[in-house]
Amino acid sequence: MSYTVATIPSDIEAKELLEILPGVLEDDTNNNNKGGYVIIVPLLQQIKDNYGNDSDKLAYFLAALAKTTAVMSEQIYEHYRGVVDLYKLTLKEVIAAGNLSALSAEAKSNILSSMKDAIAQKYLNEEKYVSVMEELA
Amino acid sequence: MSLKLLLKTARSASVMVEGEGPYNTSVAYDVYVNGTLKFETDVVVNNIYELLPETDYEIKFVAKDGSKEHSISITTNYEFVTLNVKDFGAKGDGVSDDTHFIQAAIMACPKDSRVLIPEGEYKITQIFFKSDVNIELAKGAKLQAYYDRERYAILPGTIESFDETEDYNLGSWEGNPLKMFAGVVGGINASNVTLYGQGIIDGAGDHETWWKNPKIMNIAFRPRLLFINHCDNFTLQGITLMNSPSWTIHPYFSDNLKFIGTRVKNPSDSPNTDGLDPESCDNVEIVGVRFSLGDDCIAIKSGKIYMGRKTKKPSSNLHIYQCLMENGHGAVTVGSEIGGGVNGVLVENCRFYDTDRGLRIKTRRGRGKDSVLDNITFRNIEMDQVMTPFTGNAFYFCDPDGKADYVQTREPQPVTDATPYMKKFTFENIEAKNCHVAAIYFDGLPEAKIEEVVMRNVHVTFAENPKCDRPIMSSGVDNFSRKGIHLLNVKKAVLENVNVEGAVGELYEIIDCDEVIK
Repeated sequence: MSYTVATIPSDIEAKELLEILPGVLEDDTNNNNKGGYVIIVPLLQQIKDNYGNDSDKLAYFLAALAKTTAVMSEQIYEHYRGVVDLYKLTLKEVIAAGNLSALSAEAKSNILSSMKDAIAQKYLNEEKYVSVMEELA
Repeated sequence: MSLKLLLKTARSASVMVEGEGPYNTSVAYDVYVNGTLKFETDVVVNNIYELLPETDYEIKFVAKDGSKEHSISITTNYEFVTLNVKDFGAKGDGVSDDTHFIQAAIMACPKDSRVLIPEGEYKITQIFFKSDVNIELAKGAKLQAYYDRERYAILPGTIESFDETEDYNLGSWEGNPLKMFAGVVGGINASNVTLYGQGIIDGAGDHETWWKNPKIMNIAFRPRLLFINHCDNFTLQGITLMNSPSWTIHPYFSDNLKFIGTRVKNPSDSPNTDGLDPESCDNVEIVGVRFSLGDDCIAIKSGKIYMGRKTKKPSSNLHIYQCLMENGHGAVTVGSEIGGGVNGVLVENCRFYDTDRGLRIKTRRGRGKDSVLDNITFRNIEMDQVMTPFTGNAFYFCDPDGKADYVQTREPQPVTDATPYMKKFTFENIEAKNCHVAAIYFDGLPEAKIEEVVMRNVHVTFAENPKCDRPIMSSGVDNFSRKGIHLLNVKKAVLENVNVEGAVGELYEIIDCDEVIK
């Protein structure tokens, strides 16, 4: 199924979110004048709320966000920044929940890959998260 | 009438002929310094150079027709040393890269001293000023920027603090914290800086360099010609700034600023080469500046939504006087990046020629509750060939969602945190001749009406063959010419001795205004 930002359901499966979100935002950025940006942060917040404390789902969520910020334009900064802030908040919550080594292999991989993406985009300070990344690796 | 001292350094002074103007004097003057004729002038604000430190001077203006004379006595400031950039290795031959020689002189300069850039053409990439420095760009001196993006330093938009609680903001592009090239000349967190002289700073902007694909970020966004970033007590006196890569002078989160007797020259087809754009700045004096360029002459800003909400720092206490603004879209623009609001703008004794608008206010739903525009006053202004002297637009269709229904609808929307506000605007003693489109065109929001528009002693005439255009950029506003006074969604309008000659149709088009006093 092909989505726009407006048609992404808030109860979307986490794995599907990772598959579609970056492409949807890339399309919105390049072909829709970023018209979907205005609803992206509330939508993602709702999706996150639906995932609750499920670490596997939150790991997909993090991976999806970090790949999405890479294709968003920073020129409508408040929305771009909203996604970045939601990523960081979610990451901190996952870390604060503790016992990272006990997460599923898939969750660890998704979180680690999201952190590498966020570091590459310069909104996550690598120095501060070295130990977390070592625990996930 | 008398002479008023605006500024003195160890080597220069700026004086204003009081009671004259706007911009030009009524008669030509000979200017004498200690009895020696130095130059002739017909402008109100004049800079006098080649003075010596701690020396008494009598400056006298004698009308060439013998009708009047004014004088003032000054003692120039103390100076410890002069550092000549040529003594630091600069060539000034128009070929060699002199960047780091000039930078070395600046960094070596002690307090109460001068960095002298003497006659010559100095090729540079970027020069940074530091605190407590006076830099004189002397007569015949030119800082000529290279165009080579690979050699330009970049200012990141934000850098997160180690404890992840704050951001350090350096770069800025159109009201957002985005990476940009550092200014051709600029300072960051510097205080007590004076950049002055009779020289030129040329930003190397042309349609094959910085102005090619101007909206596309190429490595970083285009540099300003002069970027004053989080500075305090900065003065620019004299100096001609030309061919700016983007906005010419951009004071950003900086306070206590003076711009005196400066000239800004960019071609009329150069993109986004605004003249002077104070953004979230307090206590700004702009006097005797002549603008001729391709966008807005002065554009007052305070960040887009993110910066406005985060910092809540308006641009405030701006005094603009004895300036000449030619060409360009707006003479004085407020917006559209005004998320932090604008409070206290006095524009007086200025002349606007051939600009699209005199005052141009641009805002829209979404700018937010901190975007409050208040206490904006124009008085004693002469305009000629200005399309529309005064515009206020709460439906400006900027940004990708600018044409969305919720921005453009004239139906009342719920008042939310996204609602911007326009408060009090006063126009007094205005003479606008040869206008084209409309005398005044203000569109306020129905859910947050403009609080008060006061017009006193306003005289507008239209050109014999007026151009047809839109007075404001918003959906549903068509092209027309010779429209009178249009006010939409204003709580209180005071129209005293307002005389518009040659308007077509009804002189007043006043819609949904609560109180009109004529």
